[in-house]
Amino acid sequence: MKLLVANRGEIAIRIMRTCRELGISTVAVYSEADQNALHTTYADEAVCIGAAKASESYLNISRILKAAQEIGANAIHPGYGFLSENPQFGQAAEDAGLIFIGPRPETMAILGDKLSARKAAREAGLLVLPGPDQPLEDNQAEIIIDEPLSFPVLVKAAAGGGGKGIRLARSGNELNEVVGLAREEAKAAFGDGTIYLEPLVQKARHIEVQILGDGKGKIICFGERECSIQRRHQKLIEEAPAPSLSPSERVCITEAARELGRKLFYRSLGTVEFLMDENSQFYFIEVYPRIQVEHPVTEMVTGFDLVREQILLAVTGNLDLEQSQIHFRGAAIEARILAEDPDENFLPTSGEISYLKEPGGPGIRVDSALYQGMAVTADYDSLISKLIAWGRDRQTAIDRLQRGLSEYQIGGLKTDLVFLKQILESHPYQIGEITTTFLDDFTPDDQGPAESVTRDAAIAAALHIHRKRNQPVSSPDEAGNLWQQTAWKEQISSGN
Amino acid sequence: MANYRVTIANRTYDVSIEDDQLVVNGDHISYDMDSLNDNGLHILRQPNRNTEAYLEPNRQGVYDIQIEGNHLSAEVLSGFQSSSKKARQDTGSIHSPMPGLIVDIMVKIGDRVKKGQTLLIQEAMKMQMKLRAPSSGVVKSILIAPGSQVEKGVLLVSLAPTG
Repeated sequence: MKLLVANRGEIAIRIMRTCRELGISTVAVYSEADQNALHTTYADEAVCIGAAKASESYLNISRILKAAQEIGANAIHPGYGFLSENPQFGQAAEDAGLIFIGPRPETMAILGDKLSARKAAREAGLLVLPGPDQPLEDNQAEIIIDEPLSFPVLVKAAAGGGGKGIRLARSGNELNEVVGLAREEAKAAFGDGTIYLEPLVQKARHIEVQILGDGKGKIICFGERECSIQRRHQKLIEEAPAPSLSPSERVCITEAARELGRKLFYRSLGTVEFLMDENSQFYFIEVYPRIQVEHPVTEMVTGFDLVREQILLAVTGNLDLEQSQIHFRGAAIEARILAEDPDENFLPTSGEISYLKEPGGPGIRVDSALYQGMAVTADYDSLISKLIAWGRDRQTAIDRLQRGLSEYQIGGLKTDLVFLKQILESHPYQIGEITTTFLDDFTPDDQGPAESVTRDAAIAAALHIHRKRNQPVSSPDEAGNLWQQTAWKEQISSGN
Repeated sequence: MANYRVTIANRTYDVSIEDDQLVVNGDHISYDMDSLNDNGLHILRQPNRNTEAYLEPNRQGVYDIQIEGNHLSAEVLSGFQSSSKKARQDTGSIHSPMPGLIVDIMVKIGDRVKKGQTLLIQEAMKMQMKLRAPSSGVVKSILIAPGSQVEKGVLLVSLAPTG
């Protein structure tokens, strides 16, 4: 058994870790920008599939399949993002005789088009957000919609995912202004500029349900996650279980997800996403037909390795699990470490990882592809690491995650580490009062760092600059080279 | 004797260093620091307390410091530096806020622009950003072409104040 992972970054390594445990050999594919990436060395074999631009590498179906065939892989795991929701990829992989670890291509086609997904959900009896079920016409300067719109609305990519290509419009004027940008973003991110409108649910909570289906109508549910903390419609902090759900609401939402899965004869892992409004009414939004970024919180509270179950199901065709075997224990929270600057409106940052110290200890899990010396570029997504904490209750999980974030040190580029800590520290988060607009008016209860800490930092900075000035050599670069040369000479002489 | 004035989180520390003597805001303290590697990792030692600090030089005289879970920015002024060092408050120029691709330029040299008007569109990580005029003025120069890839902090457009 040889499995090719058609992805990069932390998720590629995450999948390969399970493969290693299962004794499955792994193949990494990588772009020219990723020739030193961690997933290429973690895998048993690695194949370069093209240039840095995703369309020439990670989004290039024929190059990936060619790599799979040449190296003799018999299964493909798409991860998340890139080709993971592309039915043509699944189809082409199966046509080439490979096991595709994901849903059937026809299911992906239904769910990939967010408009047909809404229809499928409605047919399965789920409540769907109202809104025109047809896309906005292409190349239209002025938007003409037959029915009156109640603002605010969201402009979303029909081929969307990961929060990309979503824009908010509060008025007709704003709508006309954002439509072009949303279409451009959709085209850039998904190769399809089709967009549609959806009403904005105010004070909404984002709740999603993890399912695993055998493709024959059996659906196992691994509970729900709450992912209300979002910036730019992208999740930032996720947790399981959802703190806001009552037991009866939990039954309702998980059963709705299972019902949709049954109707679709869903195969493999999938996430059914809902918005819950102030009155605890939940509306279907979409299904992600793949492993999710935030899957570790589910693994932490259920004890299951979702990737393992997904692979075993794909290989054997059988799902040897019963719903009664799924038990929940404690609470888990994930924080996404991003190469973004929260002080500058979450603009992407780049640089070389000059220093790295990962957290550890009880209840901590790090899913990352970082290493010291790694170049973080603007070529791909800004997610560089995930920190997950488990505790026997939500408060313990929060405390552990805060500790882990404090221990985590990443040098060389700005990240959102401090911002994540400020969210966790805030009173509304602590008591579970979280909605999708939480970050829009979030101001950290910032007492600032302790005086002893700024004092230590001041001394360190002064000493550092003082010593640099008083070094015999003129520049730090020369000092480095000199030191290296000396060390090298010493090594040579001690070796003799 | 060398004197440094360090500002961190709106707190000011006057640090004097002479041989092994260290004076902070008038207090003599016993303090030592070792560099643990070439990458900026240091350990600070004072009586009964060891602290790890990761120091990363930012621009001239500014350090990013990670210490005890805090990420701080420290500005160091010293006798060697002129005290006239002032933050550049140039409202007439637009720098790239991130590395990325300049997708579109909406203005040409000589255009009169209003504060907040979109001048350029930049794209990075599949996200498009409008770069707006920080003040009203006339477009004096455009230093990049659409389709160019720029680093962070590159001067893109400069404006002259309206007469």
